[in-house]
Amino acid sequence: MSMSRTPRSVVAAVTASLLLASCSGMSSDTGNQLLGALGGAAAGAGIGALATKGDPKAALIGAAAGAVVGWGTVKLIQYYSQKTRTEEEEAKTFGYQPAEGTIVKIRNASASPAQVTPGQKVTFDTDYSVLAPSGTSSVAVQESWELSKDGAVVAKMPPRTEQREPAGWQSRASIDIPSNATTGTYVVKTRVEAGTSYDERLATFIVQ
Amino acid sequence: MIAAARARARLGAFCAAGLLALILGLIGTACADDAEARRARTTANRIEATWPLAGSGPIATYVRKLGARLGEKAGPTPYPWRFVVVRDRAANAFAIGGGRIYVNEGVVTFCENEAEVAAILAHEMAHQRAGHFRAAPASTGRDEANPRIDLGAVTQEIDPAKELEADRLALTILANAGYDPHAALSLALRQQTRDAGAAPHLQDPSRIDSLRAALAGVPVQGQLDSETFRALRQKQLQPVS
Repeated sequence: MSMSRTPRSVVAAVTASLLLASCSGMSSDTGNQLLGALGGAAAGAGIGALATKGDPKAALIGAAAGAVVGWGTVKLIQYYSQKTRTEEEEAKTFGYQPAEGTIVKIRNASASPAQVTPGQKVTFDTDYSVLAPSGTSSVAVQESWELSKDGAVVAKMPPRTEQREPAGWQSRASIDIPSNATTGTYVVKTRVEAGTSYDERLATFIVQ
Repeated sequence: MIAAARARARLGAFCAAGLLALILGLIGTACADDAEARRARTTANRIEATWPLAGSGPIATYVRKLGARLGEKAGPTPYPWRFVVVRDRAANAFAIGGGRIYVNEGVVTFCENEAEVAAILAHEMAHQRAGHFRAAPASTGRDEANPRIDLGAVTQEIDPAKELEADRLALTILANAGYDPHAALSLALRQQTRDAGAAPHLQDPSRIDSLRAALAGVPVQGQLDSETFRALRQKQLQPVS
Protein backbone atom coordinates (compact mmCIF):
# COMPACT_ATOMS: atom_id res chain seq x y z
CA MET A 1 0.00 0.00 0.00
CA SER A 2 2.84 2.39 0.55
CA MET A 3 6.42 3.25 -0.09
CA SER A 4 9.58 4.61 1.37
CA ARG A 5 9.35 7.26 4.01
CA THR A 6 11.06 10.56 4.56
CA PRO A 7 12.10 10.85 8.17
CA ARG A 8 11.34 14.16 9.76
CA SER A 9 13.09 16.02 12.47
CA VAL A 10 12.59 14.38 15.78
CA VAL A 11 11.62 16.25 18.88
CA ALA A 12 12.56 14.59 22.12
CA ALA A 13 9.53 13.11 23.74
CA VAL A 14 8.96 13.60 27.41
CA THR A 15 6.47 12.03 29.68
CA ALA A 16 3.13 13.72 29.80
CA SER A 17 2.29 15.08 33.18
CA LEU A 18 -1.12 15.30 34.62
CA LEU A 19 -1.91 18.96 34.99
CA LEU A 20 -5.28 18.48 36.52
CA ALA A 21 -4.37 18.46 40.16
CA SER A 22 -7.65 20.04 41.09
CA CYS A 23 -10.58 21.64 39.40
CA SER A 24 -9.60 25.03 40.77
CA GLY A 25 -6.80 25.17 38.26
CA MET A 26 -9.02 24.85 35.25
CA SER A 27 -9.13 27.75 32.85
CA SER A 28 -12.37 29.37 31.88
CA ASP A 29 -11.68 29.83 28.20
CA THR A 30 -11.50 26.26 27.12
CA GLY A 31 -15.07 25.20 27.05
CA ASN A 32 -15.22 23.57 30.42
CA GLN A 33 -18.38 21.88 31.45
CA LEU A 34 -19.62 20.49 34.66
CA LEU A 35 -22.46 18.11 34.38
CA GLY A 36 -24.32 16.49 37.17
CA ALA A 37 -27.28 14.30 36.57
CA LEU A 38 -29.32 11.41 37.78
CA GLY A 39 -27.08 10.49 40.60
CA GLY A 40 -27.42 9.83 44.28
CA ALA A 41 -27.21 12.08 47.28
CA ALA A 42 -23.47 11.71 47.36
CA ALA A 43 -23.32 12.87 43.79
CA GLY A 44 -25.08 16.10 44.65
CA ALA A 45 -22.68 16.78 47.46
CA GLY A 46 -19.76 16.00 45.18
CA ILE A 47 -20.98 18.33 42.49
CA GLY A 48 -21.60 21.09 44.94
CA ALA A 49 -18.15 20.81 46.35
CA LEU A 50 -16.63 20.78 42.92
CA ALA A 51 -18.68 23.70 41.72
CA THR A 52 -17.55 25.93 44.54
CA LYS A 53 -13.94 25.15 43.84
CA GLY A 54 -14.21 25.21 40.10
CA ASP A 55 -14.56 27.93 37.56
CA PRO A 56 -17.59 30.09 38.30
CA LYS A 57 -18.57 29.98 34.63
CA ALA A 58 -18.88 26.24 34.72
CA ALA A 59 -22.42 25.10 34.28
CA LEU A 60 -23.98 22.89 36.86
CA ILE A 61 -26.76 20.80 35.50
CA GLY A 62 -28.81 18.28 37.30
CA ALA A 63 -28.83 17.21 40.87
CA ALA A 64 -28.82 14.20 43.03
CA ALA A 65 -31.94 12.38 43.97
CA GLY A 66 -31.70 9.16 45.84
CA ALA A 67 -29.06 6.49 45.90
CA VAL A 68 -27.85 4.66 42.80
CA VAL A 69 -29.09 1.12 43.15
CA GLY A 70 -27.66 -0.87 40.25
CA TRP A 71 -25.09 -0.55 37.51
CA GLY A 72 -27.90 -0.20 35.02
CA THR A 73 -28.79 3.20 36.44
CA VAL A 74 -25.26 4.54 36.63
CA LYS A 75 -24.65 7.75 34.73
CA LEU A 76 -21.98 10.41 34.70
CA ILE A 77 -22.67 12.71 37.61
CA GLN A 78 -19.89 15.11 36.78
CA TYR A 79 -17.98 15.98 33.68
CA TYR A 80 -15.32 18.59 33.25
CA SER A 81 -12.69 19.20 30.63
CA GLN A 82 -9.95 21.64 29.87
CA LYS A 83 -7.18 22.26 27.42
CA THR A 84 -3.88 21.42 29.07
CA ARG A 85 -1.41 21.85 26.22
CA THR A 86 -1.46 24.04 23.15
CA GLU A 87 -0.90 22.61 19.70
CA GLU A 88 2.63 24.01 19.81
CA GLU A 89 3.26 22.35 23.16
CA GLU A 90 1.97 19.08 21.75
CA ALA A 91 4.47 19.36 18.91
CA LYS A 92 7.29 20.20 21.29
CA THR A 93 6.43 17.48 23.78
CA PHE A 94 5.48 14.61 21.51
CA GLY A 95 7.07 15.49 18.18
CA TYR A 96 3.69 15.83 16.58
CA GLN A 97 3.58 16.99 12.98
CA PRO A 98 0.37 18.17 11.38
CA ALA A 99 -0.89 15.65 8.89
CA GLU A 100 -3.68 14.99 6.47
CA GLY A 101 -5.87 13.25 8.99
CA THR A 102 -7.14 13.59 12.52
CA ILE A 103 -5.47 11.55 15.25
CA VAL A 104 -6.37 11.13 18.90
CA LYS A 105 -4.05 9.52 21.41
CA ILE A 106 -4.65 8.92 25.06
CA ARG A 107 -1.61 9.87 27.12
CA ASN A 108 -2.90 8.71 30.45
CA ALA A 109 -6.09 7.44 32.00
CA SER A 110 -6.75 6.75 35.64
CA ALA A 111 -9.51 6.03 38.11
CA SER A 112 -9.48 7.51 41.58
CA PRO A 113 -9.64 6.77 44.36
CA ALA A 114 -8.11 3.37 43.85
CA GLN A 115 -10.41 1.87 46.47
CA VAL A 116 -14.01 2.88 47.06
CA THR A 117 -17.04 1.60 48.88
CA PRO A 118 -20.57 1.34 47.46
CA GLY A 119 -22.20 4.74 47.37
CA GLN A 120 -18.92 6.57 46.96
CA LYS A 121 -17.83 8.47 43.90
CA VAL A 122 -15.11 7.34 41.51
CA THR A 123 -13.53 9.70 39.01
CA PHE A 124 -12.01 8.90 35.64
CA ASP A 125 -9.28 11.26 34.47
CA THR A 126 -8.18 11.14 30.86
CA ASP A 127 -5.28 13.03 29.34
CA TYR A 128 -5.23 12.94 25.55
CA SER A 129 -3.99 14.63 22.43
CA VAL A 130 -6.07 15.78 19.50
CA LEU A 131 -4.02 16.14 16.35
CA ALA A 132 -5.48 17.58 13.17
CA PRO A 133 -4.34 19.06 9.88
CA SER A 134 -2.96 22.58 9.93
CA GLY A 135 -5.65 25.22 9.89
CA THR A 136 -8.23 23.01 11.60
CA SER A 137 -10.02 25.04 14.23
CA SER A 138 -11.84 22.18 15.91
CA VAL A 139 -12.85 18.57 15.50
CA ALA A 140 -15.65 16.56 17.04
CA VAL A 141 -14.21 14.33 19.74
CA GLN A 142 -16.24 11.62 21.41
CA GLU A 143 -15.38 10.29 24.85
CA SER A 144 -16.94 7.20 26.37
CA TRP A 145 -16.43 4.92 29.35
CA GLU A 146 -17.22 1.26 29.82
CA LEU A 147 -17.05 -0.58 33.13
CA SER A 148 -16.44 -4.27 33.42
CA LYS A 149 -15.85 -6.79 36.17
CA ASP A 150 -14.50 -10.30 35.77
CA GLY A 151 -14.54 -9.83 32.02
CA ALA A 152 -18.22 -8.89 31.79
CA VAL A 153 -19.42 -5.40 30.94
CA VAL A 154 -21.51 -4.02 33.81
CA ALA A 155 -22.12 -0.45 32.62
CA LYS A 156 -21.64 1.79 29.61
CA MET A 157 -21.73 5.54 30.03
CA PRO A 158 -23.45 7.45 27.25
CA PRO A 159 -20.71 8.94 25.07
CA ARG A 160 -20.02 12.65 25.19
CA THR A 161 -19.17 14.56 22.05
CA GLU A 162 -17.28 17.84 22.31
CA GLN A 163 -15.73 20.18 19.79
CA ARG A 164 -12.01 20.26 20.50
CA GLU A 165 -9.30 22.34 18.98
CA PRO A 166 -6.10 20.45 18.18
CA ALA A 167 -4.28 20.43 21.51
CA GLY A 168 -3.75 18.43 24.66
CA TRP A 169 -6.92 17.87 26.68
CA GLN A 170 -7.87 16.60 30.07
CA SER A 171 -11.32 15.36 30.95
CA ARG A 172 -12.66 14.33 34.32
CA ALA A 173 -15.83 12.27 34.60
CA SER A 174 -17.34 10.85 37.75
CA ILE A 175 -19.91 8.22 38.63
CA ASP A 176 -21.42 6.99 41.85
CA ILE A 177 -20.78 3.40 42.77
CA PRO A 178 -24.16 1.69 43.19
CA SER A 179 -25.11 0.88 46.73
CA ASN A 180 -25.44 -2.79 45.86
CA ALA A 181 -22.23 -3.07 43.85
CA THR A 182 -20.39 -6.31 44.47
CA THR A 183 -16.91 -6.04 45.83
CA GLY A 184 -13.91 -6.66 43.65
CA THR A 185 -11.77 -5.11 40.96
CA TYR A 186 -13.45 -3.11 38.23
CA VAL A 187 -11.91 -2.11 34.93
CA VAL A 188 -12.87 1.12 33.26
CA LYS A 189 -12.13 1.38 29.54
CA THR A 190 -11.88 4.97 28.41
CA ARG A 191 -12.30 5.54 24.69
CA VAL A 192 -11.61 8.75 22.80
CA GLU A 193 -12.54 9.00 19.16
CA ALA A 194 -12.24 11.59 16.37
CA GLY A 195 -12.73 10.95 12.69
CA THR A 196 -11.49 7.45 11.93
CA SER A 197 -8.94 7.55 14.73
CA TYR A 198 -9.59 6.33 18.24
CA ASP A 199 -7.70 5.25 21.31
CA GLU A 200 -8.55 3.26 24.40
CA ARG A 201 -6.94 2.90 27.80
CA LEU A 202 -7.76 0.76 30.80
CA ALA A 203 -7.69 1.72 34.46
CA THR A 204 -8.86 -0.13 37.53
CA PHE A 205 -10.42 0.55 40.91
CA ILE A 206 -11.51 -1.70 43.71
CA VAL A 207 -14.91 -1.72 45.37
CA GLN A 208 -14.49 -2.83 48.95
CA MET B 1 59.95 -22.68 -11.44
CA ILE B 2 60.00 -18.91 -11.39
CA ALA B 3 57.00 -18.71 -13.72
CA ALA B 4 55.09 -21.13 -11.52
CA ALA B 5 55.92 -19.12 -8.42
CA ARG B 6 54.76 -15.93 -10.13
CA ALA B 7 51.53 -17.63 -11.15
CA ARG B 8 50.94 -18.79 -7.59
CA ALA B 9 51.66 -15.28 -6.34
CA ARG B 10 49.22 -13.78 -8.86
CA LEU B 11 46.59 -16.32 -7.87
CA GLY B 12 47.18 -15.56 -4.22
CA ALA B 13 46.90 -11.85 -4.82
CA PHE B 14 43.76 -12.37 -6.86
CA CYS B 15 42.19 -14.49 -4.11
CA ALA B 16 43.21 -11.99 -1.46
CA ALA B 17 41.68 -9.15 -3.46
CA GLY B 18 38.50 -11.15 -3.95
CA LEU B 19 38.34 -11.98 -0.28
CA LEU B 20 38.89 -8.34 0.63
CA ALA B 21 36.14 -7.26 -1.76
CA LEU B 22 33.80 -9.84 -0.27
CA ILE B 23 34.55 -8.69 3.27
CA LEU B 24 34.10 -5.04 2.31
CA GLY B 25 30.86 -5.91 0.56
CA LEU B 26 29.54 -7.74 3.59
CA ILE B 27 30.56 -4.85 5.84
CA GLY B 28 28.85 -2.43 3.47
CA THR B 29 25.65 -4.47 3.46
CA ALA B 30 25.71 -4.79 7.22
CA CYS B 31 26.21 -1.05 7.60
CA ALA B 32 23.39 -0.36 5.17
CA ASP B 33 21.16 -2.73 7.13
CA ASP B 34 22.16 -1.05 10.35
CA ALA B 35 21.34 2.34 8.85
CA GLU B 36 17.94 1.07 7.74
CA ALA B 37 17.28 -0.36 11.19
CA ARG B 38 18.24 2.94 12.80
CA ARG B 39 15.99 4.93 10.50
CA ALA B 40 13.14 2.52 11.11
CA ARG B 41 13.58 2.73 14.87
CA THR B 42 13.54 6.52 14.75
CA THR B 43 10.38 6.53 12.68
CA ALA B 44 8.79 3.88 14.90
CA ASN B 45 9.50 5.98 17.99
CA ARG B 46 7.88 8.98 16.34
CA ILE B 47 4.83 6.95 15.40
CA GLU B 48 4.53 5.54 18.89
CA ALA B 49 4.66 9.04 20.37
CA THR B 50 1.80 10.39 18.32
CA TRP B 51 -0.39 7.55 17.10
CA PRO B 52 -2.78 5.31 19.00
CA LEU B 53 -1.41 1.80 18.66
CA ALA B 54 -3.11 -1.42 19.67
CA GLY B 55 -0.45 -3.36 21.53
CA SER B 56 -2.88 -6.14 22.32
CA GLY B 57 -6.40 -7.20 21.51
CA PRO B 58 -7.99 -9.50 18.97
CA ILE B 59 -7.01 -7.56 15.86
CA ALA B 60 -3.41 -7.12 16.95
CA THR B 61 -3.20 -10.82 17.74
CA TYR B 62 -4.80 -11.76 14.44
CA VAL B 63 -2.54 -9.53 12.37
CA ARG B 64 0.58 -10.80 14.12
CA LYS B 65 -0.41 -14.42 13.52
CA LEU B 66 -1.23 -13.75 9.89
CA GLY B 67 2.01 -11.84 9.48
CA ALA B 68 3.97 -14.68 11.04
CA ARG B 69 2.40 -17.17 8.64
CA LEU B 70 3.31 -15.01 5.66
CA GLY B 71 6.74 -14.28 7.09
CA GLU B 72 7.60 -17.97 7.11
CA LYS B 73 7.14 -18.02 3.35
CA ALA B 74 8.35 -14.55 2.47
CA GLY B 75 12.00 -15.45 2.22
CA PRO B 76 14.96 -14.30 4.26
CA THR B 77 15.26 -10.78 5.61
CA PRO B 78 17.88 -9.30 7.93
CA TYR B 79 15.16 -8.22 10.33
CA PRO B 80 12.44 -9.92 12.31
CA TRP B 81 8.97 -9.07 11.10
CA ARG B 82 7.06 -6.70 13.36
CA PHE B 83 3.39 -6.01 12.77
CA VAL B 84 1.82 -3.10 14.62
CA VAL B 85 -1.88 -2.31 14.52
CA VAL B 86 -3.01 1.33 14.44
CA ARG B 87 -6.34 2.23 15.97
CA ASP B 88 -7.80 3.82 12.90
CA ARG B 89 -10.90 2.74 10.98
CA ALA B 90 -9.50 3.99 7.67
CA ALA B 91 -8.04 1.19 5.57
CA ASN B 92 -4.31 1.72 5.34
CA ALA B 93 -1.05 -0.10 5.83
CA PHE B 94 2.57 0.78 5.29
CA ALA B 95 6.09 -0.37 6.00
CA ILE B 96 8.92 1.76 7.30
CA GLY B 97 11.84 -0.62 6.86
CA GLY B 98 13.62 -2.73 9.42
CA GLY B 99 10.84 -5.33 9.09
CA ARG B 100 8.29 -2.99 10.69
CA ILE B 101 4.84 -2.94 9.18
CA TYR B 102 1.88 -0.87 10.35
CA VAL B 103 -1.70 -1.90 9.69
CA ASN B 104 -4.81 0.13 10.43
CA GLU B 105 -7.71 -1.69 12.05
CA GLY B 106 -9.82 -0.45 9.14
CA VAL B 107 -8.14 -3.04 6.95
CA VAL B 108 -10.23 -5.72 8.65
CA THR B 109 -13.50 -4.11 7.64
CA PHE B 110 -12.37 -3.05 4.19
CA CYS B 111 -11.20 -6.53 3.22
CA GLU B 112 -13.86 -9.08 2.42
CA ASN B 113 -11.81 -12.15 3.26
CA GLU B 114 -8.60 -13.18 4.97
CA ALA B 115 -6.74 -13.58 1.69
CA GLU B 116 -7.23 -9.86 1.02
CA VAL B 117 -5.79 -8.95 4.40
CA ALA B 118 -2.91 -11.30 3.60
CA ALA B 119 -2.50 -9.51 0.27
CA ILE B 120 -2.09 -6.18 2.03
CA LEU B 121 0.46 -7.57 4.47
CA ALA B 122 2.27 -9.42 1.68
CA HIS B 123 2.52 -6.19 -0.33
CA GLU B 124 4.16 -4.38 2.57
CA MET B 125 6.45 -7.35 3.23
CA ALA B 126 7.37 -7.32 -0.44
CA HIS B 127 8.62 -3.74 -0.09
CA GLN B 128 10.92 -5.00 2.62
CA ARG B 129 12.01 -8.09 0.70
CA ALA B 130 12.75 -6.00 -2.38
CA GLY B 131 15.05 -3.76 -0.37
CA HIS B 132 13.06 -0.62 -0.91
CA PHE B 133 14.20 0.79 2.43
CA ARG B 134 17.85 -0.08 2.11
CA ALA B 135 19.04 3.35 1.05
CA ALA B 136 18.36 6.60 2.82
CA PRO B 137 15.65 8.55 1.03
CA ALA B 138 18.03 11.41 0.31
CA SER B 139 20.44 9.15 -1.55
CA THR B 140 17.95 7.41 -3.77
CA GLY B 141 17.48 10.27 -6.16
CA ARG B 142 13.97 10.81 -4.88
CA ASP B 143 11.65 11.86 -7.61
CA GLU B 144 9.92 15.03 -6.54
CA ALA B 145 7.10 14.14 -8.91
CA ASN B 146 6.25 11.08 -6.84
CA PRO B 147 3.07 11.58 -4.88
CA ARG B 148 3.35 11.76 -1.13
CA ILE B 149 0.97 11.12 1.68
CA ASP B 150 1.53 13.16 4.79
CA LEU B 151 0.64 11.08 7.82
CA GLY B 152 2.24 13.40 10.33
CA ALA B 153 4.74 11.13 12.00
CA VAL B 154 5.72 9.72 8.65
CA THR B 155 5.49 10.80 5.06
CA GLN B 156 4.79 8.17 2.46
CA GLU B 157 6.52 8.72 -0.84
CA ILE B 158 4.98 6.66 -3.58
CA ASP B 159 7.26 5.32 -6.30
CA PRO B 160 5.01 3.66 -8.92
CA ALA B 161 7.76 1.30 -10.09
CA LYS B 162 8.34 0.04 -6.58
CA GLU B 163 4.61 -0.40 -6.04
CA LEU B 164 4.42 -2.60 -9.11
CA GLU B 165 7.42 -4.59 -7.96
CA ALA B 166 5.88 -5.08 -4.51
CA ASP B 167 2.58 -6.11 -6.08
CA ARG B 168 4.26 -8.83 -8.12
CA LEU B 169 6.41 -10.12 -5.27
CA ALA B 170 3.38 -10.17 -2.98
CA LEU B 171 1.69 -12.68 -5.29
CA THR B 172 4.52 -15.13 -4.69
CA ILE B 173 4.40 -14.61 -0.92
CA LEU B 174 0.64 -15.16 -0.94
CA ALA B 175 0.82 -18.34 -3.00
CA ASN B 176 3.69 -19.74 -0.93
CA ALA B 177 1.70 -19.12 2.26
CA GLY B 178 -1.28 -21.00 0.84
CA TYR B 179 -3.52 -18.06 -0.04
CA ASP B 180 -5.20 -17.47 -3.35
CA PRO B 181 -3.06 -14.78 -5.02
CA HIS B 182 -6.08 -13.59 -7.00
CA ALA B 183 -7.20 -11.93 -3.77
CA ALA B 184 -4.65 -9.21 -4.50
CA LEU B 185 -6.47 -8.38 -7.72
CA SER B 186 -9.92 -8.37 -6.14
CA LEU B 187 -8.60 -6.08 -3.43
CA ALA B 188 -7.04 -3.70 -5.93
CA LEU B 189 -10.23 -3.60 -7.99
CA ARG B 190 -12.30 -2.74 -4.93
CA GLN B 191 -9.87 -0.01 -3.95
CA GLN B 192 -10.47 1.54 -7.36
CA THR B 193 -14.20 1.20 -7.42
CA ARG B 194 -15.33 1.49 -3.82
CA ASP B 195 -12.71 3.43 -1.96
CA ALA B 196 -13.24 6.89 -3.41
CA GLY B 197 -10.98 8.40 -0.79
CA ALA B 198 -8.13 6.04 -1.50
CA ALA B 199 -4.71 7.47 -2.17
CA PRO B 200 -3.87 7.97 -5.86
CA HIS B 201 -1.33 5.13 -5.90
CA LEU B 202 -4.09 2.73 -4.89
CA GLN B 203 -6.16 3.85 -7.85
CA ASP B 204 -3.36 3.59 -10.38
CA PRO B 205 -4.83 1.55 -13.29
CA SER B 206 -1.39 0.28 -14.26
CA ARG B 207 -1.32 -1.72 -11.04
CA ILE B 208 -4.50 -3.51 -12.06
CA ASP B 209 -3.05 -4.23 -15.50
CA SER B 210 0.18 -5.49 -13.96
CA LEU B 211 -1.67 -7.75 -11.51
CA ARG B 212 -3.88 -9.12 -14.29
CA ALA B 213 -0.84 -9.89 -16.41
CA ALA B 214 0.99 -11.55 -13.52
CA LEU B 215 -2.04 -13.66 -12.63
CA ALA B 216 -2.82 -14.73 -16.17
CA GLY B 217 -2.79 -18.51 -16.25
CA VAL B 218 -2.42 -18.77 -12.49
CA PRO B 219 -5.11 -21.12 -11.23
CA VAL B 220 -7.62 -19.79 -8.72
CA GLN B 221 -6.67 -21.87 -5.72
CA GLY B 222 -5.61 -21.47 -2.14
CA GLN B 223 -7.22 -20.30 1.05
CA LEU B 224 -9.58 -17.38 0.80
CA ASP B 225 -11.11 -16.98 4.21
CA SER B 226 -11.15 -18.14 7.81
CA GLU B 227 -13.66 -18.32 10.63
CA THR B 228 -11.36 -16.14 12.72
CA PHE B 229 -11.39 -13.37 10.14
CA ARG B 230 -15.14 -13.51 9.61
CA ALA B 231 -15.81 -13.29 13.36
CA LEU B 232 -13.35 -10.45 13.75
CA ARG B 233 -14.80 -8.51 10.84
CA GLN B 234 -18.34 -9.03 12.04
CA LYS B 235 -17.42 -7.63 15.43
CA GLN B 236 -15.64 -4.66 13.89
CA LEU B 237 -18.66 -3.84 11.75
CA GLN B 238 -20.88 -3.59 14.82
CA PRO B 239 -21.39 -0.12 16.25
CA VAL B 240 -19.15 0.61 19.22
CA SER B 241 -21.94 1.47 21.60
